[in-house]
Amino acid sequence: MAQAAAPTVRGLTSVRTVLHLIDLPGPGGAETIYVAVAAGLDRSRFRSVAAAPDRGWTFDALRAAGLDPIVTPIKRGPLDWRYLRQIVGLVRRERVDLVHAHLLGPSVYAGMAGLLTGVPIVATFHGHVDVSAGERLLRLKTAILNRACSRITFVSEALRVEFLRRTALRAQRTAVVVNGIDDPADAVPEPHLRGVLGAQPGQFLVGAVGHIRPPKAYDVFLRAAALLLERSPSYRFVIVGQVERKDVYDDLVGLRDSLGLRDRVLFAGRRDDVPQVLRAFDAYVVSSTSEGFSLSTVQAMRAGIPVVATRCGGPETILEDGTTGILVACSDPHALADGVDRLRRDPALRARLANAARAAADGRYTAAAMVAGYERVYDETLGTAR
Amino acid sequence: MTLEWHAPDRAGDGAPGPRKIRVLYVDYSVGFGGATQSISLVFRGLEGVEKFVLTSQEPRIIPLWYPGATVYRFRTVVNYRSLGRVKAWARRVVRLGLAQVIVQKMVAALDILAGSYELLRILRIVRRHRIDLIHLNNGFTPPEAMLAARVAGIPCIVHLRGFPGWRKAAHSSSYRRVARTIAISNAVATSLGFTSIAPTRITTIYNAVDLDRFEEVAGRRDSERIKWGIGPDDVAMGIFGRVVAWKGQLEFVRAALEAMRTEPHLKAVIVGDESDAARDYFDEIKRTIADSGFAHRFVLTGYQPDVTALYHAMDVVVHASIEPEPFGRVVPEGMAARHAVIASDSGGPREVITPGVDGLLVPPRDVGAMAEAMVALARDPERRRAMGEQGYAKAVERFGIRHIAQEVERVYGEILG
Repeated sequence: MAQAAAPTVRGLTSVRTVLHLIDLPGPGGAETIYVAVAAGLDRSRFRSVAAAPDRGWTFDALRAAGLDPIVTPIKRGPLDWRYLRQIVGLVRRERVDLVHAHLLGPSVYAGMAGLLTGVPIVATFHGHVDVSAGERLLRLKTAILNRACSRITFVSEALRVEFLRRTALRAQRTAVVVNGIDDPADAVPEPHLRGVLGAQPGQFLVGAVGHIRPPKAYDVFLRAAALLLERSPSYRFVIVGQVERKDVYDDLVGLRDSLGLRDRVLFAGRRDDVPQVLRAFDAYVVSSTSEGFSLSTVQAMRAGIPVVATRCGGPETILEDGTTGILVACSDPHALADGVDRLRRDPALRARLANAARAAADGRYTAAAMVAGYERVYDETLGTAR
Repeated sequence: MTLEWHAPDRAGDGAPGPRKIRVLYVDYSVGFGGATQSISLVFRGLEGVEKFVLTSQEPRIIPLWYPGATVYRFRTVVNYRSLGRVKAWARRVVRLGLAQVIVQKMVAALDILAGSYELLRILRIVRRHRIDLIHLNNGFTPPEAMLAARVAGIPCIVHLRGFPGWRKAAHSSSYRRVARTIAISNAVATSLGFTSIAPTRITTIYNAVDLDRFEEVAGRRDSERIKWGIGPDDVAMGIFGRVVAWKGQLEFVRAALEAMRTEPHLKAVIVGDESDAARDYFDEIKRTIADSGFAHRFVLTGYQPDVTALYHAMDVVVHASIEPEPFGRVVPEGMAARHAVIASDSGGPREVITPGVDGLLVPPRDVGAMAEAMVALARDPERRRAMGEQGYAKAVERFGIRHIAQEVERVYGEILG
């Protein structure tokens, strides 16, 4: 499914060309959204030119979606002239009408390209960890974004508020477009998966999904697991996610063993069948101290699995405490354990939360809703409302 | 139950046709507001809709603004005003904290009673006229109208005409009862991103402009210019709207002064009434003009009941709001008068203008950039003319009454299936 070539006569068609930029090779939350947006735009109105920093998950996913990804390597550290030149060249060659950049690095480079070429820029931030306190030249980068971006979007209101608090970004250009995700068509539960994930029939399997890194606070998850096993021996736990920080992983394994949980908590590693895996859980837990959104929460909601999540930025945007899920304070293993145990003891509560959550997920957090949100931001910038 | 005004829309020959959709418009607005004015224009363009209105407007406004509609009035709006007076009296006379709490509780109880009463009235209107859908014309108010739609089992549309001021009610259950939100700009639509309203259930429909009226009055351009002392060689740049800080008349004045240094034929016109609340702001503007040495290049028209002819008298229309404007009707109105438009690059105007084609966009509050835009257009009559023509073509294509009414009818069709 080849994309249409760059229009040679401007103004002849009303199809606008959007250049998508990201600097993460994938897999991950931001990359998933990136691909969904680039591939999901209304083809009768937008033509996507999508970039990936190298050949990896993002590149393959774009390819699989019918786009012809362009490799745009980006170097960390001081100004990467080659990357900037590449973007400017793409803007000119592909007659780009709007650049949609994701995460801080590409957004700043896109901003510079926008100041040079006049092309409008939309920047999207996915998580708190994007802007670390020691970020070099943060004030200069913020100034570029303020000057060059037509819109700066965030994947949750909490993230937007956090950025406005910690940086000099101007509020007027900011907006919220929440993430959305659809399940693949073949996401049906597979009975044998529970055994693979360490749970026998009759046991209560509690799971978490996400890369092994500090903001996920899996240590809190482990401590809550220890508390829960004191209340009932039927609990089993699994953490699904690839190891991004080996030191963090080693510490977690050490903590698990020192708490005596070796046979009760499984590190399942990276899995590519997350929607099926979620359906094997009895409860889904987000223990993070920092999330821009939490796609896995939406996936769990859609899978009909009740969710207990910390108020770490994203989940409180998605869940309504007591209606579509249970929200607890961050870094509090007791609160987390209490929330999970309420679910185990009360099947009616589980069913009520799960049904309301599924309806909310299907109504609000679909890929179509998210893409419509971004298309509207494009329309706002380009003045292309019908 | 007494009707306020009955002017039903009937085809003269009584010919049968497709059944008209019966819509109850709930217009919870007071005074000369954009909401009533906008829906009034839409009424003139609707073809497949039988219109019923429940309004809080004054009786004398009703025949003017709701042509062809059967109109009812809210009964309890008056109560709010007298309740307000009672509350103020109570605060003055009754100083004891407990008594104040009692008065507040009584007011709250009356509020609930009033709301219940209006809810029942709406349900009776819906039943009597077999209403198909309720169209809330002024945001998510009043709550009894949304509740009535739910109780009656008919869909409800909310016409959102401003940015949500609240950040707390993201999950509000009242949103779930709304079948579609009409936003008056993509900027307003995007501002709902933090709520539980999915972008797919929001439709952007711009406000209409009365192009016929603008055409009618076009011939008065020359006489208006003479009336306000604008010479044939002057380039008149006008800003329209109530004179308040957020509309940016002060920034407009400063930019005009900067531009006048090199463009002595520039005339800056401020069309609009001061309000009592913004008296200091108006004084500062007058002082800035008086101290400038260019006072003779400024025209302050004060309140004008009909500004359409003044639009024609201009050469450029300027929008200078320093806060994002949800729509900014000044911009398409300027286009309807065939003028180039300079506007703040935010909110509604940013979507309406195609910079370089039918207008120029400048960063809000940037006096230097606005001056630069004014100079560029003051020096180039051909560019002004070309932009004016492009703007007029856009106004005809996208902001005409019939076009906008068709978009509204399309939403009705989608909702009712």
